[in-house]
Amino acid sequence: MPEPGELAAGVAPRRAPDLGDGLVEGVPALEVRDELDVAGRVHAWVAGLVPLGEQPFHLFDEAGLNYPPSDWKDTSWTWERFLDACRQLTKKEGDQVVQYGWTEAWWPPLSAVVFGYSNGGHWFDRYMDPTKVTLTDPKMVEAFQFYADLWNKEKVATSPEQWKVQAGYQMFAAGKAAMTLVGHWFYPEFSKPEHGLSMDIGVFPIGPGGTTSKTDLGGTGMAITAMTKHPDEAWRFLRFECGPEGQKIIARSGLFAPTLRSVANSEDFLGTHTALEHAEVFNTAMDNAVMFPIGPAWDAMADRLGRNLDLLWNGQATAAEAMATAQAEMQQALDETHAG
Amino acid sequence: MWTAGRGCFPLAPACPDNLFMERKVTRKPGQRQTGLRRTLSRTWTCYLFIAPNMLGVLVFLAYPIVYSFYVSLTRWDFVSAPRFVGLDNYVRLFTADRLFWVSMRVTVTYVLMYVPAVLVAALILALAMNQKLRGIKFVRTAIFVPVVTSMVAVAIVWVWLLSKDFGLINIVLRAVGLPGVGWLTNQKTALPAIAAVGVWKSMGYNAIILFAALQSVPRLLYEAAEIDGANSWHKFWNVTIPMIAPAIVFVTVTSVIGAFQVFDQAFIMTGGGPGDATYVYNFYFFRQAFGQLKMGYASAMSYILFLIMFASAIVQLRLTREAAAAAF
Repeated sequence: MPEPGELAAGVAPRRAPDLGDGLVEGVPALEVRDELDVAGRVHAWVAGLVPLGEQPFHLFDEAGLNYPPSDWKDTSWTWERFLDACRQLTKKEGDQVVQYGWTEAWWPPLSAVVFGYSNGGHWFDRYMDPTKVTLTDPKMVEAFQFYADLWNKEKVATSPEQWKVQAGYQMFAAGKAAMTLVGHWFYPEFSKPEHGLSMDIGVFPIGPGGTTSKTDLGGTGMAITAMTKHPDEAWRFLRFECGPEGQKIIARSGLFAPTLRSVANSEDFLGTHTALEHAEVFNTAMDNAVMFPIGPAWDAMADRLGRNLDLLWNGQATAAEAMATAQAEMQQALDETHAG
Repeated sequence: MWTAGRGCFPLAPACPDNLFMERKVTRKPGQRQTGLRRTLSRTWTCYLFIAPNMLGVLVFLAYPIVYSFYVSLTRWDFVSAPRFVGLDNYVRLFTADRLFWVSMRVTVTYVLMYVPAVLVAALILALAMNQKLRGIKFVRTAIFVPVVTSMVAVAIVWVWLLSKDFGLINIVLRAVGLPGVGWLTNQKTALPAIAAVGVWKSMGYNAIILFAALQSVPRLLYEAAEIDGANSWHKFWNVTIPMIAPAIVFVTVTSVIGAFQVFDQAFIMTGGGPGDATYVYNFYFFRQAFGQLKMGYASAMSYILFLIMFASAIVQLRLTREAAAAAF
C-alpha cells in the first residue's frame, strides 16, 4: 500500500489500497492513476459513482397498466409499449392537460442519450478520453427524434415551455407526470410524506435497434492536488471516504449511491429506499450504464450540444439537422482541447 | 480668484478653496523650488483627502485591469502557474473562434435593440413624471422599483410572464385573438424578449436622470417660446431636447456600456439559446472563464470588451462636451 509520504514527495503511487469490489466492472472505488494527471496537478483520482438514470414511475395503477420492468434485459418493454403507456397516462380536462405520461426532469440531451443507448446507439467512440463524437449515429438520431416527438408530436410529455416554469421533478412529485428520469439524489425528496407518492423504479424502454436497456453513469471525482500542504490528511480522508465506513455514511444519506458493491448490496443502502420495491435497480444499473464522457472538453461540448439541441426540443429543427450541427461543433471543441 | 493647480486632480474643487488661491511665495534670494515640489506643497492635503478612495481604485480597479492584461497574454487554468503565450489568445479570438464572432454579433444586436428602446422608454417616463398630477410621487417611486430589484429575481418573474402556455403576456394575446408566442424558446423572439426585460429593469434609473435634467430646464425658456408662438411639439423639440441633451448623451452612453455587459437575462432566461440566439458576449466569456477555466483566453475577451467600454467613455466625454456647447 502506498504511503502518504510518497504523495508528499510528489510521486504518484501506482497502487490503490484494496477497498473491496468497485461497483462498476473495471472501475475500482479508489484509483490512483498517472494518466489522469493533467499537467502534473492531480495525483489521486476517486470515482464516487452515481447511477444517473432510473425511471421512477407512479400512477400506473389508476390507469390499469402493467408496471415498467426492473430487468434491464426485458425486451417486452419497447418504445411502442412505453409510448402507449404515455398516451394512457396523459389525462386531459377540457383543453388542459392535467397529467402527462412523461416529464423531462434533468438535462434533455442526457435524457435523450439514455434512449439512444437503449436503441444500441453511441455518441462517442469511447467514453474515457474520447476522440470522436458520433452523435449522428442513426440509432442516436432515431432516439433523439423519438424523445422530442413525445411532446412536439404526441403531446404526452411536458414541453420546453413547461420546463422553464416548473422543474420536471416538481411535476413528478406533484403527480402531474407519471414517469421521468432522475438521478439517485432525488429520492430523498420524492420519499417525503408530503408528496404522498406511491412509486417504484424501473428500467428504460428498449428501442428497435437495441437489445438491452441502458442508462447514464456519472460520479463525483475527487483529487489531491500536487500543491496541497496537507497530502497526508487528504490521502487519509480519501481512503476513509472510499472505504466501507465512509461509503456506509454516504449510502445512509440516501443522496448518493455507494461505490463499493459490498455496501451497495447491504441494508445500509437498500434500507434507505424502503418506499421502492425494486431498489436493487440502482445497483443493477451499474452493469448497464454508460459512463459520461467527462473530461477537459466536456464543458465546451455540453455548451454546444445544449444550445443546438434546443432547436430540436422546441420543434424548430429535426433531430438529424440539430444533431449534425451539434456533432460538428462538439468535434471542433474536442479537437481544440486535444490540440491544447 | 482661484485656479486649480496644474498638478491637482479634477476632484480638486471639492477641496477647500483657499488651497488653490494663488499665493505670493516670499522666497529668500538663492532659494529655488522646483515646479513639482511647489505643486506638492500646495496640494498634498488634496492627495490626503482622496487617498482612501484612491487606494480602493488602485486595488480593485487599476490592479485588476493591469493584471488581467498580463493574464490575457498567458494560458492559465487557475490551478497551475500561468504560461506566457504572447498575443496567441487575441490571435485565436480574431482568427479561429466562430463563437467569439457569434457572441459579438448577438451582443451588438442586443445593444442596437436595447439602447434606443431604453432611451425612448426613459424619456416618456421622465416626461410623465414631470407632469403635475395627483399621485405622481407614488408613480415616481414605483418606476424605480425594478431598478433596485435583483436582476435574477426580475428574470425569473419574466420567465413566467413570457411563458407560452401560462404567461400573462400570452394570455392577453390570446384574449384578443392573437396566437401565443414562445418568446424565450423561439430563435427569433428570444433576444428581443431579453432586451425588453433589460429595458423594463433599467428604464426607471434612466428616467430619473432625464427627469432631473427636465426639472432644471428654466421655465422662462418655455415662456419665451410661447410668446414666439411655439406649440407643445415645438417647445419639446426646440427647448426640452436641446436643454437635456447632455443627460440624453449620458444615458445613451452608459446604456451602451451596460448593454455590452448583458449577462444575467441570458444566463437565467435562455441559457444562451435557443441555438445561438442569445449567446451574448459575457455569457461566452463566463463559459470560457468558469466553465472551461481558460482564464487567459477569458481575460483576452474581457480586455477586448474593456477597450470597447473605454472607447465608449471617450466618445461620451466628447459628445457631452459638444452637446453642452450646442445647448448654450
